[in-house]
Amino acid sequence: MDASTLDPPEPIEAAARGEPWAIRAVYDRHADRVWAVVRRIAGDDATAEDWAQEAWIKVFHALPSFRGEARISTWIHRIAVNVALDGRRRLSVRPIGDAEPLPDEGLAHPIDPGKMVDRIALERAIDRLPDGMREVLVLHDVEGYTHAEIGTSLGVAPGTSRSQLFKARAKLRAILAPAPRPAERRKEERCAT
Amino acid sequence: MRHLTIETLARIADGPATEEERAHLTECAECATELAALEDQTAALADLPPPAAPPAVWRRVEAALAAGHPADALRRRRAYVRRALQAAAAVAVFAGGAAVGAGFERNPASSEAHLPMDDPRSETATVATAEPRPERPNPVETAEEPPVALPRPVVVRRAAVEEPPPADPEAALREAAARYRDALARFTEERGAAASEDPTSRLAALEGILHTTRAALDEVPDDPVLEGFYRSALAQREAILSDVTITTAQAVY
Repeated sequence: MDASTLDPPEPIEAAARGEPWAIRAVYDRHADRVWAVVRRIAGDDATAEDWAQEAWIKVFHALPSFRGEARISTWIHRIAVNVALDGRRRLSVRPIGDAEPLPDEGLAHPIDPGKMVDRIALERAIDRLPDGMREVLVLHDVEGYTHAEIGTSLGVAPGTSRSQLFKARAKLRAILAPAPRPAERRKEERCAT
Repeated sequence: MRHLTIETLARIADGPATEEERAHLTECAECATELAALEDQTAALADLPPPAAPPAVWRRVEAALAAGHPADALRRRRAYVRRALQAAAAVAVFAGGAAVGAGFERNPASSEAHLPMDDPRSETATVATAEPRPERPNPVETAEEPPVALPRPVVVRRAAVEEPPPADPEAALREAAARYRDALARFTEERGAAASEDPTSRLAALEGILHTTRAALDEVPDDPVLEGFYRSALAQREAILSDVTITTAQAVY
């Protein structure tokens, strides 16, 4: 591998000592990924900014205790996810698994999910998912967590996470392609062929 | 034969299908198309790039850190901000007015008012006196007067400490020092006409100083320089209020 393509080492120790330049360097390297997960779980910018700030403060508080047992990116991401899930719990009035209403209208300009070129539309569709479904969908399909990990984080059985994920995918599909057929498919129907 | 439900298709999108489900998908083009769409959707989710964090997030994190959440974080930056705030508070005090200044000068009990400026611990004093002081040819000035006199009570520059921490504390510090020198220069010009005895003007100026130093102390608690300004202004205000009360009582009785 070409050494020039390697990222410079992160100034973790300097950041842990409170050196401003190092704090900024660590922030810059991970800011987008932290923002991505808290923003997608939050579903709106204002809430996400609160959670992102809280996550970063926790990161820099805890940095002196970071022992390198996990990658720093994984460690920071985990803190961000926990802050977002805690924040969601504080805000939520509907626990995961409860019936949540299906958004009754599609996007103004539905995209072709067969191509999925419109990432902005996809992000907007994620925002419109019910909170519990959005959490599971983001953690599993976007962030790559397992159902066991999600179940632990949310305090539910892995099977609950799994079934919630399938509902979330179905609802996302319904938001992206609000044709009558997906809704009809909510109940089994006689196949025409 | 029935269509597969959308949730069944969502499960099959990245998981195993039963024999029956596979058989159905080979026969039902509609379900196969729907499954393909769900597979694409799932793949697109995994490929979503992280959106760029808005600049506001860093500003908030930086402000929270500077406010002291981690005790030692951003220590150097805070030191710069402290110096800038001290200098700004000094400007506010020196721009606070001759009426107040006269009180500082005349009142021996207010020696603590001079302590910050003469105190070797004072970074403000270092900054403020690093530049040559303007000539003070006023003949009424006596040897007992403090080394730095106070100008007239017209402008109290509160904004200097009410604004958020400056992006460039060094520049803010230089600016505060320049404003300090301007205040001194104004004092030398206006000193002769500044010896107001009007207690109302002096109280108004003192209130401005108290407001300014209180705000600065919120930013840098326990700072001896700012605390000295604050306590001195408090003492002078109490003295003026006491004088006013006595005078009023004498007038009544």
